[in-house]
Amino acid sequence: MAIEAAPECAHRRAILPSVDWAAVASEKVAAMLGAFEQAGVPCPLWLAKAVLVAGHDITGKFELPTHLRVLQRVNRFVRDGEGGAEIDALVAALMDDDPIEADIVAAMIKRLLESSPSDVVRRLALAHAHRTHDLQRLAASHLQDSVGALPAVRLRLAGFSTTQLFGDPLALAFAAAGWRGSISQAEYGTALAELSNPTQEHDAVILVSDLAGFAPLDWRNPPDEEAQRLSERVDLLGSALMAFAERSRVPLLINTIPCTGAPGAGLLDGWHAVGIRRAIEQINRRIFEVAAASANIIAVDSDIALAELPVARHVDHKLWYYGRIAYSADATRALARAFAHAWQLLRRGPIKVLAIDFDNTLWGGVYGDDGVERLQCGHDFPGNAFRALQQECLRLRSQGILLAALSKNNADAMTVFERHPEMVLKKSDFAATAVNWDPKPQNIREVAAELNVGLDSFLFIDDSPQERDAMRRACPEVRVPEMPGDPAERPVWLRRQVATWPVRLTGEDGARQSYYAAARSATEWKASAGDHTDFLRGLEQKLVVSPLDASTVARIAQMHQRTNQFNLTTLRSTEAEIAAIAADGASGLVLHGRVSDRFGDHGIVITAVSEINGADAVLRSFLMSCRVIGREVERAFLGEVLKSLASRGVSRVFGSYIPTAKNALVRDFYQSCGFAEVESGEASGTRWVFEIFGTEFPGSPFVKIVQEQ
Amino acid sequence: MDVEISTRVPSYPEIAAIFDDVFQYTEPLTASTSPRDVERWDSLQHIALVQAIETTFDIKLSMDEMMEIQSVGDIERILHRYGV
Repeated sequence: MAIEAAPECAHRRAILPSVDWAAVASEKVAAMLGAFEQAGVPCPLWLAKAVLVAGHDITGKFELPTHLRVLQRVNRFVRDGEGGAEIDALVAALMDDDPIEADIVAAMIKRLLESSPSDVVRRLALAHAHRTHDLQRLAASHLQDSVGALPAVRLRLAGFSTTQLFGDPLALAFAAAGWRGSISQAEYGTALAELSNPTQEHDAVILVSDLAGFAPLDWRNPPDEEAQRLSERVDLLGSALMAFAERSRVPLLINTIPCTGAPGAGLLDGWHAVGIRRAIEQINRRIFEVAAASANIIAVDSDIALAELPVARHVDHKLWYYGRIAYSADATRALARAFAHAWQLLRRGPIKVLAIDFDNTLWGGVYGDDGVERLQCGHDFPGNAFRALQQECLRLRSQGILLAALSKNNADAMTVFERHPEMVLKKSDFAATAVNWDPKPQNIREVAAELNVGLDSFLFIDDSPQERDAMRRACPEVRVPEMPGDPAERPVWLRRQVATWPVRLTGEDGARQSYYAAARSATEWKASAGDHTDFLRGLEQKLVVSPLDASTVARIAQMHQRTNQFNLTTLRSTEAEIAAIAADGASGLVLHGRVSDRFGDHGIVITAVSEINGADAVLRSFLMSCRVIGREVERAFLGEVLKSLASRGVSRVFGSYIPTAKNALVRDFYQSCGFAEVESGEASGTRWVFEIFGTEFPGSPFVKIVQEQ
Repeated sequence: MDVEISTRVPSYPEIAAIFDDVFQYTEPLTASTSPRDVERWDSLQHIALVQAIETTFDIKLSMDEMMEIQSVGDIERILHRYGV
């Protein structure tokens, strides 16, 4: 077998890469590794990784990178309990969004969750849950144990498209940020209605925005008109957000529209009236404006949230067409995480103190060895990377974060800032200094006492893995991210440290002045759309009711198959069954309704199948797409159905409500439309009758019935 | 022939794991296992199923394939087609 001839086969990369290592006996693996050692050939890294991920041990004198070394320790611990005390500390170092490969960390989490699911391990699972489907699943399987002690937060989730798939990733992301989130979903596509009706039952509203859901474009219209429609829609959103901010006690978190890789006007996309890029920027600018004008509106920048995901993978297009799902699973996880981070910052605030190491962190080289002159920091390579990190420290200082020097050096190392001509930071920029040879955990406690700031408000950055490790063990409250080894990566890395992001900055009062305009339009909105009924009036809805025909039967059957919420009987009729009822002109009547509003056409969204028997008729099914729930379309449509039946000589119309797990929404629908309850002969559900004579037909002032041309 | 197919156990053990995961369905699977047998297999969970298949087997399904999946047998056929 190839495994015995390991060194040669591995070298040629024949066979071995495809081996399912989990299925290979550990003796064989040991024999293979032994063969490498005897031949004096290093075990290739990819092979070491595959073997460790499969759960085997690696013995012998192989050099392993840090993450594989930790996995090796985990494997040994799981196998024979060896080194248990160390595991938590090793794992704690992997909490950050660290460059550890997803399959390596997944292998660790899986094994540790199965053998000894400690709090640290569950936190590790949550910390990486956003990265892959597998990791999300692992974290989700232990979510209940993880969130027990966390503070609760009640979230209201709304959007312009389907938000159902956001629920689980959001709960996980909030758990990773330290919150036990309970999520209530708004009805489909009712984001604007939610804004005009703020409830008092939630701690935050999360509004998921996406371009296709928010601003569907119709190229039948002249470009100018279409651009005008978009502007109106943006105004409506801006006003609704401002009105929400003024009325609601709780914050609203809204994501911006992410950039597109598919232009609508080619090279003109950024400026032309019909450019998609231009549309995105127009919407986002308004979102940022209201965020600047109100502390209750938090704009979550999708481009930052999705920075590590290729644009082409933001959307899984088949899911959009299948169920108006605007974001791929990967993008959903990333956005959910960004929302959770925003909430965390909003509630806990950013760090207050940045504690910084000197040698090889703020400058290249070691002061004690190299002397001042040879320290790297300046305008030339490679000192410019260190100088850039100092600039970032200065930026954080200007945003209100205190700088603390935390260096193992003689005290005169502080003079470097004065003696080295190119240092950006000056001695006076540091609010506290601890430059001595004492352990850093001891120093940071003294600095915390001196500044009167809790350790949980500290971020500690140090290039030395040993110092980071020591800090994590001694002061678990201090945030200790894994700093990249390459100084070139560090300035941007520091900018991406969410814990340093400001929520509010002093001096923004000036910026707010320019957003009086937005506040003014909110007042106008209040006047024009003060409550939900005004919102409905503003929609200018139109309903066209037509009988079934050959071109619509497939859509009607599909609605029967798919509709769960607004569905009185949940009868899963097929195309053939519906066509058969409609074909019998004397006793069958299948009507459907097409709804449009000032923002566009929703298509066929509502249908009713009825059977007529003399003066009695029965509504076999009555259902509506969740796209238009909460807009009184159902009342207007039912009225039209009843009138149509009346014109056929019907005097009594019967309907049933058959409860399912999902249709509680319509339990009282018939009652609210003038039906009276009759004895139900059935075990479950209720039966209703509408007396054509003597009862007012249901309808809605917000839905205009339009006769088909 | 039909009977033989419908009682056959799926040739991919991963499918059972996916069904456990997505639908919490732990009954033995056959090629004919369909939404009629699996209570949670509704239109929304269908998406979770498709995503689980895509990530487990590292493939990307098309819109047609998404519709084509009406039973465990359909999933197997599609996986064969992808050669996984």
